[in-house]
Amino acid sequence: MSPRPSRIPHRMFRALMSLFPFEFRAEFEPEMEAVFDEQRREAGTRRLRLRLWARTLLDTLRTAPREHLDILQQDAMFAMRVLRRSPGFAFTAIVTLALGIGANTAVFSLVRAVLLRPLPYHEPERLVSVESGYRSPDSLHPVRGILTGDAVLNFRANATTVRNLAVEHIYSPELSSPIDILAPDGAERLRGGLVTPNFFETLGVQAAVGRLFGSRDNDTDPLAVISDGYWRRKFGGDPHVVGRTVDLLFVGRRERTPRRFTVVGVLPPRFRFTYPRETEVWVMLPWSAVRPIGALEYRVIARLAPDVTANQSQAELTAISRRQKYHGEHDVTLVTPLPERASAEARPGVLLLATVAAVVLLIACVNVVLLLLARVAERGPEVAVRTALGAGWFRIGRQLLVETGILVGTGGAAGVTLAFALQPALRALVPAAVTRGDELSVDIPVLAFAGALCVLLALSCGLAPLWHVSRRWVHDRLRRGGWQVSASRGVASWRRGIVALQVAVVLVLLVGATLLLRSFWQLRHVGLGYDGTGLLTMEINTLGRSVPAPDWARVHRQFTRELLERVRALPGVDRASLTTSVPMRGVDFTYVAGRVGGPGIAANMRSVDAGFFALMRIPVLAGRGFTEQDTSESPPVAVVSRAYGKLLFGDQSPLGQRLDLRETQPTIVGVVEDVRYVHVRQRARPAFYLPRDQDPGPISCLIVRTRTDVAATAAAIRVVVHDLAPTQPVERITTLGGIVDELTAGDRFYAVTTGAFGGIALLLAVAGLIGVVRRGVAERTRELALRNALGADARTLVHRTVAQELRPVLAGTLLGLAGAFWLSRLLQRFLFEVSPLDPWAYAFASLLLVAVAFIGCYIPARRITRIDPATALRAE
Amino acid sequence: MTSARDPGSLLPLTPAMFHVLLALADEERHGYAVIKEVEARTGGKVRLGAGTLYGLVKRFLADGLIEESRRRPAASEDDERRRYYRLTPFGRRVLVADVGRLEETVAIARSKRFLKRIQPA
Repeated sequence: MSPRPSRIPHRMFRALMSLFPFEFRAEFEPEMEAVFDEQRREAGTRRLRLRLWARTLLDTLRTAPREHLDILQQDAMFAMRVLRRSPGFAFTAIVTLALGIGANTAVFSLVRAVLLRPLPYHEPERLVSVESGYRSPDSLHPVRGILTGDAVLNFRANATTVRNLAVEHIYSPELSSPIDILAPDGAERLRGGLVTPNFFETLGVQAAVGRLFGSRDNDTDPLAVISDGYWRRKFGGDPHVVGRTVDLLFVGRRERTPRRFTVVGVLPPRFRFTYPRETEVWVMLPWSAVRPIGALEYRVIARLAPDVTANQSQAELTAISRRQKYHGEHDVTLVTPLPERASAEARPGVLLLATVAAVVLLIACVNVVLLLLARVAERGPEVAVRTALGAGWFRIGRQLLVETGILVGTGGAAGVTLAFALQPALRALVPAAVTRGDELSVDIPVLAFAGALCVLLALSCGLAPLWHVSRRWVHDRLRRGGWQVSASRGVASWRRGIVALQVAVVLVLLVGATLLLRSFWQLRHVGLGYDGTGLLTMEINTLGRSVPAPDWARVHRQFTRELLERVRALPGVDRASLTTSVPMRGVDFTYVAGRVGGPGIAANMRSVDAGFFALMRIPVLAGRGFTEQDTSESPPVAVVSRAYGKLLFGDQSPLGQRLDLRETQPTIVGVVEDVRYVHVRQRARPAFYLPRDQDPGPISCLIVRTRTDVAATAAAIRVVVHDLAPTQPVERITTLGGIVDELTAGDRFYAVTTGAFGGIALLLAVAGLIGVVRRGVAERTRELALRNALGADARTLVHRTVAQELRPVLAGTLLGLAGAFWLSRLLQRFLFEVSPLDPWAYAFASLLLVAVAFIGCYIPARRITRIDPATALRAE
Repeated sequence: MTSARDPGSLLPLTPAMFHVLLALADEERHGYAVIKEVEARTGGKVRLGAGTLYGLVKRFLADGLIEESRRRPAASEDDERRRYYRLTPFGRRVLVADVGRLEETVAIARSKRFLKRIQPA
């Protein structure tokens, strides 16, 4: 007998052996140790022993992985065989996982596009947006505003925490300057950017073609940079575009004479700055044109100085702006990192969606765990036999893990395919207001996310059966005689607990989805106060003041009269009318008027022509609307909305009263219904109307009621306008329905996606429930057969089983209602005229859930009637 | 069942496989003895590590090329941790088939002119 080796090398060798798989070690470790001992004994010198160690180490590193691979292959083959034997189980698990992983991959592609992908600038996290804000004492977040020229120049001269401050001229809040481009075939309104020469240097972008203007350029030079989209659309992607010229007209400027600009470069395709519509042409705003005093009209970006945070910069800029003359107590300067600013609007919605998808995944995961646990129980005898034959629980556990891995892998592949297939639909559904949402794609990082998700799922779903298959459990099973024994109390109550929790989570989701769907329905059916069907709207910024003042009104009147006459004569056009305010476009003028001698009360003021009320089908409640006789020569008249009339005159009739507009005091000749004019979401506001001829304004909206094809009518109107005024573009021709669609796209998106996810969650939960009940019935086969044999009525047994299985469902429903009650306030910002505690939504969601759960319990419970007592008892 | 299998399905053997089977061809041996035998026969050119050897042993046992022998030497010369292996008839057929394959290969090489000088040892 050979002497035992000393301890240290022995331990070291054991440590090396642990690199081999468990089974290999169990089989060969003592022998290998014996070999190593002899080799060590033989290697007499220290040097030889060192060489032996090196050789053994190398040999182990070379051979151990192969042994692992071997075992894995065996496990995989075994798992495939096992899965093929129970296709129902495999199919359910794979579909469940595919839905969970698919939903999350698709949503993650959106999250990545909107929130995670860096903005297409150099070091975008160092860029900030500078805005003014008003922090009212009663609101949590300050209201954002635009900076005055005074503030901009002060920051530029004094701020040390930001560098390379650049300015964009804003036409109206959140809107870049519109620029008209003139071409031989007509004028077109572009989204334009009027920016200081250093703008692109601040962003750190390079031109794709040519160059971008910069601070070395003379800022009064007529140079233009165009977007990739415009380059492709108008120049057909011509690589020699540099040097070509464009004739541009600036809207909102007094002069309407075009200026010729030279194109110096094209921006890269990924470049975006304005959402949802990208700016198409950029020209320089000279620093000298940034006026210290004037309207609020600048948007500022800057780069933070090294080692300065946005908060520090905000403190400095606020301090600087305090020194200004017109600085109120609640005014603040807001410095926000540009990435955060760009996704601010979209963030809550996208996060809501991500949360909902994660909940669906959680439900899918729970279902798969339940399925796997049921299967482990079903395979009790097989596992017990294999344990008895010497397979360690570790081996069995690993096999289960491999089996789970195969299920998750297949489910994951199906899920990713689903996400790929859903991509176009998702892209179409994402509202334009979700910045960069249209850039979503299932790319490498998204695939990596899906992969990571699969690994996480395989581990978390695989752990449950692993825990179940401990040696103790197997022994327990053997002792009790196998699988026909009812599940122990512990396991059954665990399962009920899981069902209850799952039901609770699904109910929270369903309540949320119902609230959003109800809110969307409400939004689409809200009374506007007028009839929007068949209305076509377009914007015509009628003839700037290129004509001297006294003549302007006459020229303008002439143009509008001719325009209306010719449009009304077009085939298919029932009525046409001009107004200063564009319905549902957020453009409405506010004016403070009042009764003569009374206080001023703010109201919306709209200049409309004679046919307006009939065209819009706004009911005239008292008196009359305007007629062709209400001209500049006739006595001034006005029409008030019902709410405004009430505000001004209380219960008195407004008819015949005078409205005090300071310059004039028109007589009120009619009262009309209140209308939602600015936004579907915004309640009707008090308003008054004046005849266009008595109050001609430059911004106009042409509204047409048409019976025929909208596109043909729109094209015909373009021709008419071009004939009358060749430099006049016609903008944003859409039906009112189209505008409302656009305005409610976000609500539709969140309602539809949450609804779909809620539906999936419900289906998954019911599938899980069916499995649990089926399992419960299978476990009680012997008991039920015995009762049956003793004369119990099968139908009574079914009812009793259903009642029993519904108990955790009802408990879960109560829990879910409490959860929804608590969580639904988070939905407040998404809801329109629906309370987060809307009882109908809660009732509907609970009833739906309980009804579907009842079916889920009843279907498997019906099997009880098919149990043949003789067969079932003999099987024992 | 193994005897019905075609030895050709396991060919060609890697050098390590070949030497291990060859070491077991004349007598049954334990692991360390196999390593020593291979080393001696190849003049120290082939040195098998324990991991390599037992990886092969595992596969040979599974394929039925070798089997464990119940016979053990006297207790004074034995180590209880050792196991002894011997070639099965199928293993022998595989070995013979591989030797034949090698002979054929060498014969083909010899038929080439430039190798004429090489004579059998």
